[in-house]
Amino acid sequence: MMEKMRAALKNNSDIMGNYLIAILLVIIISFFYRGFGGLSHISVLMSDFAILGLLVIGQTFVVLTGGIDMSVPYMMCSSAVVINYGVNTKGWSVAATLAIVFIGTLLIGAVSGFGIAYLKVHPMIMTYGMNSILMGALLSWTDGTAGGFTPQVLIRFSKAKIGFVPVITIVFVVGMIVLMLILKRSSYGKKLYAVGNCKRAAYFSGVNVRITVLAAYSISAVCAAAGGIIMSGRVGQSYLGMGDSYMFITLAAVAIGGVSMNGGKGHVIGAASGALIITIVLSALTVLKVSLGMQQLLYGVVLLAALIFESSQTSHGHKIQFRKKKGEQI
Amino acid sequence: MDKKQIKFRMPNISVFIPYIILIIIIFIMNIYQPGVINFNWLNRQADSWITLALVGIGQTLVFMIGGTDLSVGGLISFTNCLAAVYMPDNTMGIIVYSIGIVLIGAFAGMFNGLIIVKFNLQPFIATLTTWAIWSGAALCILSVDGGSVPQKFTQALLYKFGSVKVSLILLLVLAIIGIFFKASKLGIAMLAVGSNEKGAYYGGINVNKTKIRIYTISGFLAACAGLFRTAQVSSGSPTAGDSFILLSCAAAVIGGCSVAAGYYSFTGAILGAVLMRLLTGLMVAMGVSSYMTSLLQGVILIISVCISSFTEMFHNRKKMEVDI
Repeated sequence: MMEKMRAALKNNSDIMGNYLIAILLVIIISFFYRGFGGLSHISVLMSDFAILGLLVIGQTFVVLTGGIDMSVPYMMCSSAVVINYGVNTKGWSVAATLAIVFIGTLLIGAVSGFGIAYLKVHPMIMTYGMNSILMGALLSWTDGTAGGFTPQVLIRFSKAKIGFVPVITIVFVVGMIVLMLILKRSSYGKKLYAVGNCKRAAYFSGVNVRITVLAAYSISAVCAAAGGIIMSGRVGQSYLGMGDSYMFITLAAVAIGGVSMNGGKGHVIGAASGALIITIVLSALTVLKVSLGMQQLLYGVVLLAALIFESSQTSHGHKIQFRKKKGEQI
Repeated sequence: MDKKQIKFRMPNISVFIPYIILIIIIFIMNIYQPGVINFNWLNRQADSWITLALVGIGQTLVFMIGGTDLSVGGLISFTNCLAAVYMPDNTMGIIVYSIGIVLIGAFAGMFNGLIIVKFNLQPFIATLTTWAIWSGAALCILSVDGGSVPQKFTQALLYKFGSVKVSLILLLVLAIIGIFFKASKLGIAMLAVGSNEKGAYYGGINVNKTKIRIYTISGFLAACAGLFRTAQVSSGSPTAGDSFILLSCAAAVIGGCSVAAGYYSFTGAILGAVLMRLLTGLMVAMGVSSYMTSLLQGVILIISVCISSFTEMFHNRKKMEVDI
C-alpha cells in the first residue's frame, strides 16, 4: 500500500508541484497585499476555484479523448439563463427547471458527441458551431433578455459556508473524487484512456470508440451547466456572455494541469491543480489591476508555453521521430 | 469494380454545393425582392464579401494541409484596432502603415506555422493560443469600440474605377490568382502534404516549409481582411474578428474544399463567403429574428461539414479502412 502511494506520488510530481506553487503564490502575494491571505479572501478564492474547477474537470474528459470543447461559454450561460428565465418569467418550479436543464445539457452534449463520433465532424467545428447554435436559440427564446435574478434557493446554496469553507467547494471536491474514481477504477475510464491514446488500437481491442467519445462530451456539458448555475447563484443574476472568457481559461487550466492535448494522458486532480493556479493568478491580476486584454494575452502565452513544455517532454513519441528523420531540412 | 460505380464516383458532390445553393438563394431572393439583383447591388455587396472571401481563402488553404487557423479572428481584431488607433493622416504614413500591418499579419501566420511544425502541436490548439494572444493585444490597444481612420485610407479601399468597386475587381483577381496558384509549385506541394504527409516527404517535398508558407499566406490574408474591415466601418473594434472564425470555416467548407478528395478552389471559397453573407441578408429580408442568425450559421456550418465528411467516409469504405 505504501509503495503504491509512493509510486503514485512519484508519477504525479508535477501535479504536487502545482499545488505547492499555488500555496506559495498565496503566501507570497499576501506579503504584498495583506488581505490576500486572509480567511475571507481565501474563502472567496475557494468558491472561485469550485466554479472554474467544475468547468475544467468537464473539459478534461473531452481533452482526454483528444478532442476539445468550445461550447463551454454558452453551455454555462444558457443553463443559468434558462433557470432564471424559467423560474422568473415562465413560473416553473426550481426543481423541475434544474431537472430540465441537466437533462437538456446532457442531450445537447450527446448531440455534439454524436456529430463528432459518428458523423466525423471535427471537434472544434462541432462544438464551436454548437456554441453558436446555443447562443441563437437562447436569444430567440428569451427575446434577448438575460433572465434576471437567480432563485433564492440557488443563491443560498452557492453562498452557504461551513466555517470558512464554502459548501460548493466541498461539493466540487466530492465530485472531483467521484470523477477521479470513474477515470481510474471504472471500465469507462480505461476505455477513455485507450481511445485517447490510440483510437485504432482501442477499436481493435473491442472498445466501442463512438459511445466512449459521445459520453465524454455529455459529461463535459453537464459539468459546464453545473458551473454556470453555481456561478449565477454566486453573482445573484445571469447575464449574456457570462461564460465568454472561460473558453480559454478552461483549456489553459487543463494544459497546466498536465493533461495532454493529444489525449490519453493526465487526470482530473491534475486538471484541478491547473484550475487552482489559474484562480489564484486571476485574483492576483485583478488585485494588480491588470486590464482584460492583458489577461487574455497572458492566457494565450501560458497555454502556448504549457503546450511547448509538454511537447518537449514527450520527445520520445513516434511522431517526433518521424520529424527528426527529416529534421535537417528545416 | 464495374463501370457503373466509377461513373457514379467521379463527380464529387461537394464541388457543386456552392453553385447549387447560390442558384437557390438567388431564386428565393428574386421571389422576395423582385429585381433586386443587378450590377449596382453587386457593387454594393462586394464590400461585405471581400473581407470574408479573403479569410475564407486563407482558411481553405490551411484546411488543405489538414490544419485549422483560429488565429484569423484575433488577427483581424488586432489589425483593425492597430489601423484605427495609430494610422496617421498623410499619404506616406497610410502606405507605410498598411504595408506594416500586412507584414505583421504575415509574420503572425509564420509564427503559427513555426510553432506547429517545430513543436509538433495540434494546429487548432496552437492557433487557439495565438488567437487569445492577438485578441488580448487588440483589447490592450483599444478596450472599447472606437478610434478613427484617415479619410484617404477609407477612400482608397472603397475607390470606384468608373462604376466598378475595388473590392469587386479584387474578388475577380483573387479568382484568377486561384487558377495560377493551383498550378504553382506551392499549390502542388500543398495538395501532396494534405493527402499524405509521409508520402509527400518521400516524394521530395519539404513538408515543414510548405506548411509554414501556407500559414503565412493565411495570416497575410487575414491582415488584408482586417484592413478592408477598418476601411468599411472606419472605426476599430477589439471583437471585430471573432465572428470571422466560424464564418471563415463555413465559407471554406461550403466552398467544397476536401482534403480526402484533394479538391479546392479559390472560386469555391469566394462563393462560400458570398453565400454566408447572402444567407444573413436573406434572413433579414425574410423577417427572421436577428437572434436566430447565429443559430442558423451554426446549423449551416455543421450540416456542410457533415456532407464533406460523408465524402471522406465513402472514400474510406473504398479503401477498406475501418470507420472508427
